[in-house]
Amino acid sequence: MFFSKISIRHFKHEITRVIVTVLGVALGVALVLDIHLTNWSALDSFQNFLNQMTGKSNLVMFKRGELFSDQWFGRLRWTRKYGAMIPVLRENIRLVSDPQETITVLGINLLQSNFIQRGQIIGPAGQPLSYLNFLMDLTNSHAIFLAQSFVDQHHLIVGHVGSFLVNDQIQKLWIAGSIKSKTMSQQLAVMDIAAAQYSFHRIGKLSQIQWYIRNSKQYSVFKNKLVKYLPKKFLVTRPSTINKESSKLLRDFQTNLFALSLISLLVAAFMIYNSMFLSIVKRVEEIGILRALGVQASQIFKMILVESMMLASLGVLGGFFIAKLLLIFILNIINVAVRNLYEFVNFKTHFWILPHVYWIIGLSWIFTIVSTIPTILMASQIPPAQSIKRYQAEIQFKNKSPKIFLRLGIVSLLISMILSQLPSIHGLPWFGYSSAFFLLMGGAFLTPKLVESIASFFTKKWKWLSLHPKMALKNLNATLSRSCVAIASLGIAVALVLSITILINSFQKTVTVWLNQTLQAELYIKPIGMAGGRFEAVLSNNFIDRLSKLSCLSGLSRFHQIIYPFHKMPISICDYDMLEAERYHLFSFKQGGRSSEIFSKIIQRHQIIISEPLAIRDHLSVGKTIWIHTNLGREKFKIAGIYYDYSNANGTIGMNRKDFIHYFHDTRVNAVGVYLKSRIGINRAEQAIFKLLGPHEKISIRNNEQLKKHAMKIFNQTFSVTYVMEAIALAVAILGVFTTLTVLVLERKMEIVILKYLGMPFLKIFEIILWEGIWIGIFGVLIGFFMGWALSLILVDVINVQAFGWTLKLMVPWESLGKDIFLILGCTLVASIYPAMLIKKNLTIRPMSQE
Amino acid sequence: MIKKIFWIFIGVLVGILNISAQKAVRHFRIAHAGYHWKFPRDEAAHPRYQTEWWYYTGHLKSTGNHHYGFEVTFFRESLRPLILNPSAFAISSLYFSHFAISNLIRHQFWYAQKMNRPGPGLAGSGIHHFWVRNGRWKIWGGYDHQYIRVETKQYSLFLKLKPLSQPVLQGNMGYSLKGKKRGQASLYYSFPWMRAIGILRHHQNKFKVHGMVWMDHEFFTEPKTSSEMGWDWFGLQFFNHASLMLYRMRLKNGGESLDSQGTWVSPKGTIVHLTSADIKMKILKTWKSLKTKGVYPIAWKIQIQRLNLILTVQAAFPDQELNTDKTTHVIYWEGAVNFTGVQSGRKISGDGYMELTGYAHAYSINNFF
Repeated sequence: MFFSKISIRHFKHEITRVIVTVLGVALGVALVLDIHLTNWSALDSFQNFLNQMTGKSNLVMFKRGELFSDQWFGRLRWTRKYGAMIPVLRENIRLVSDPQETITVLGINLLQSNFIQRGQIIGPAGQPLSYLNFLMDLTNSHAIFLAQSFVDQHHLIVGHVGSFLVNDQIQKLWIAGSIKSKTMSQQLAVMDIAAAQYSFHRIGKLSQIQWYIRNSKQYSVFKNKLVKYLPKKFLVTRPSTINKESSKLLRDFQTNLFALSLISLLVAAFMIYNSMFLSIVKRVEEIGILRALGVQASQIFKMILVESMMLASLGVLGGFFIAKLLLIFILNIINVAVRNLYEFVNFKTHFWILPHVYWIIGLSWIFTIVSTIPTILMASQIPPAQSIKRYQAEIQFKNKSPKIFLRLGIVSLLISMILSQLPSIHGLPWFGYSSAFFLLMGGAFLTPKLVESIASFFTKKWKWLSLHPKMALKNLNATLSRSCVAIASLGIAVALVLSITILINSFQKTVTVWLNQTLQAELYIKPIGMAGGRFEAVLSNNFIDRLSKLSCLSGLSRFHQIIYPFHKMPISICDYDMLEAERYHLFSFKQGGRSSEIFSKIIQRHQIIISEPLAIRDHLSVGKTIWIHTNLGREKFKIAGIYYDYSNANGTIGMNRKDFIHYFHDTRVNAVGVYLKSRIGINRAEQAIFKLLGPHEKISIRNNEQLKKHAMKIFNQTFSVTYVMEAIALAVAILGVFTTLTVLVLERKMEIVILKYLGMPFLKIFEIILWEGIWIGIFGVLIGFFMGWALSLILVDVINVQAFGWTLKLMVPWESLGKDIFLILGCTLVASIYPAMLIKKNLTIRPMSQE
Repeated sequence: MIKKIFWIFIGVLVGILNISAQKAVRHFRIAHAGYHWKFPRDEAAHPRYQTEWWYYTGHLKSTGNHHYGFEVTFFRESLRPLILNPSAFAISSLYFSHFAISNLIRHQFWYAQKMNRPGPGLAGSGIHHFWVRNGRWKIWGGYDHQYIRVETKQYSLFLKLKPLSQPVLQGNMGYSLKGKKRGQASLYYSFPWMRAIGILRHHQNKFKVHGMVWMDHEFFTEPKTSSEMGWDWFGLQFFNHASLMLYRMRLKNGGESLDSQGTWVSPKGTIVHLTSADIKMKILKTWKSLKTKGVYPIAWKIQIQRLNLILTVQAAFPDQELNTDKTTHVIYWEGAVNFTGVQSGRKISGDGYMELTGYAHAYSINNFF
């Protein structure tokens, strides 16, 4: 009780410091918490969505990248003795009224499902559907059962017909019932297998056959039998393996996001460290007296520890509430990023019930306390004589610490350099993250020496510097132990802002150049049922035939993609007419020689090109061969070239269309690029294309500019979450500057009063304080600039390459950086106004008389 | 023998599917007198008729002195979907199957049920050759032999059946009237005596079994009227190689339908058709199901004056009730019975199967589903 009373007393006396520190820590914790919760929810929703598609099944068979004949279901009748067998046809459809929303329809044998037994299907009357009505619905070849939440959200009516987009057609489906299930993803719908085959024009086709093998002993026996029985083109695996593979990239993306969010917590840790340090320096006398009165060092340690624990607890608690307020905002922007990049699964999060909240909060609490331990140790070692030597700590710091920190800084930077050269672990750039951490710590450690050197240079050598900035600089130099932490934390925040700005700019510019090089067609056509970048919907061959006969066309480039599991990753195999690709410059090659040489190789059989992310992740290079399971069996392909591809981080194999049809027997087309004879006729060409459509055909046409704009819009949406991170890190750092300056002013109030009574006008003193803020800003920006530059190199050349496989050309947006720097300096100036205003309050005779 | 248990199910199904009797008749054939029977062709499926079933009941003995009764039934119900879907999985019909075993020594009853749609590897039936499959359960064969194969985790049964007589055409040359309206009739025949040999597996224990089996095959289109409360059916095999099929249709008003009928086949093969006027039945004992609260008459006195026959029929043990909630949603009692009696002063005895429906619930759509 004794120690807690002391701590609370200090809190009361320094309420501004406490509030600002708590707010800073709270912001850092809130960001980490929200990013973690959102990431977790996204992954959980996605996993849940994938799991729901396989239900209880524990074995799945599918053909790589395409559908297969449902006759296999009959041929595999013998497998029934091992467990229940489920035919599955999967199709993605969209609502005409809300094309942004994609629904994955599972066509299954609904007679085998237990939805109806559980009373989960709600019929048109709002009551559970009777068994016979359910049977009746199964005979309806357009009956669909949607998730209740989806029906409610889109104001659909059970028992009515809804319009859906399927490939390039509008399809009327009868909403036979809604499925009431808390766990069912709202983007999942079910149809009877026969109805799905009929409605989606997939008669005789299945996507998967699933089994539920109850007997674990028989599982591997059955699996081996099945693998032996099936041709090689089929893949037999556990659904969990596919789910894991499908969510790997999402998991990697989110790990990167989480790692970036930790920088805010690091800045917050600096802040609490600084705050505690300032508090202790202020109480050196008091601690010295306590020591003189017989209080032991361990007791002082405990006392300060309690204080730091209370601050950390308040900060973490505040973080909890701020996280709750920010959650929806962060959730929405990450939702957009995830949907653009990876999967279309919407996700929500339940803030209060997640054990993750407590985990993150506990970790943040420990982290913030640990960051104050050096300060607490220093406080506990203050000797009793210190009570009469007020500035002893500062003098000691100035004499010894800059050198120690210099050494620590150099070692940290060396470690950072070494770590940046190490490869990724399981596709995640852990050494890259560590390298970034050591870089930031190195920069922070170098701060005291840097400030000291620059300050002495300006004050001694730079004669034209006027008195007030010089005095401000001297003040900062004199209080190095306090000001340096604020400068370092500001430097880290500035480094984060600058590096992310450079990364985004490099990305943006590289992608723009790539888009300009590879998007040459005047118009791009895709089926209206295709969601975002997912190439699952197809254009009818009949439409493409009609399209190719249009007189205003000079050419067409067809695009088709299948998803193919390669080295446990769902990569894409895309087929292109390589002669067209060469003619229209569809590829920008990184490796393999001149493009004409690569194209001349690839039109020969057994030659392919691969995308850069695939080459980097799987360590593939030109000349190497890879094996692909085709309809004709396992075939060997030689890599003729590696091309840049910023549209797919999973990796892509490009194959000549003739080869693709030969090996996969698949002539479908997902999208086409249209090249016109004359650019003037774009609108007329669009009209002519629309005229080709039948009454139920529906396509989406974008011209070149629109497509590029759309790509950049997606790009910007994807990066929007990083702007939030920057803003929060910067806010925390500015709060740190504010706290430092406030405490420095309060600490120097006697000195300020003496200056006043020696005749210095208030405005001059005010100016000195403002200059201190400006100097902190300048030092922070300076250190942040160098750290930011180095950090951007790590982000662009190490983390980005290892995590996504994209090489980017480092391009510095000087104008934007200049704006950022001005903004940061402005913020530090604003943050120093309040401390400067505090002088007025303290210009009383009392401190003077004390002195 | 008529297994009317599905009439109402089908009636309701047809009604719910918005196919009136007239529409059904329009799409499917109705039973007519003078049907030209041709065996073994008519053992196979008749998809032009909406409803069809194959019904096997019998008593089996094993070398280990085990004694079992069994029931294996396969039902086919054609549906008339709104759109002709060419998918192999299209639900053009539904297949239901029940499999029940009565352990007559231990008085234990067990049953399983299965429903499937036609489709590759799911269910189907032959129209030129006799085979009906529902998942892994199957019945098949020809004129000389038929086979049953049903498998579950608890029990599986494989039987080879040899008919000991020509098929018995029920009613008027296989045309069995079920009501007064046109088309309210079925086409059906029975094999009252089939010698069975095979294997019965109970968990890991396999027994070689042999015994006698009764088989019914019936197909029709017209649904039955809903004025019926239920029915009581008997398929009795006399130890002197005579056989007797009887059914009594009970009406909701408490009376008995005049459509109740029977067929007597003498040991020498003489067939005598019986009408409701020939048959007198009296309940001697009832049993109340604790699960469904249905009260079933499990002991009967049957008197057929025309045959100079008095029988006391008694369930082998009371609890042989099936609740088919996963398939046909009907609760009924179908189990092994034995009987003793007197015919023309001579003591007679035998065993057989009895079916009792409409005792757990009155038949209405709500009770069924």
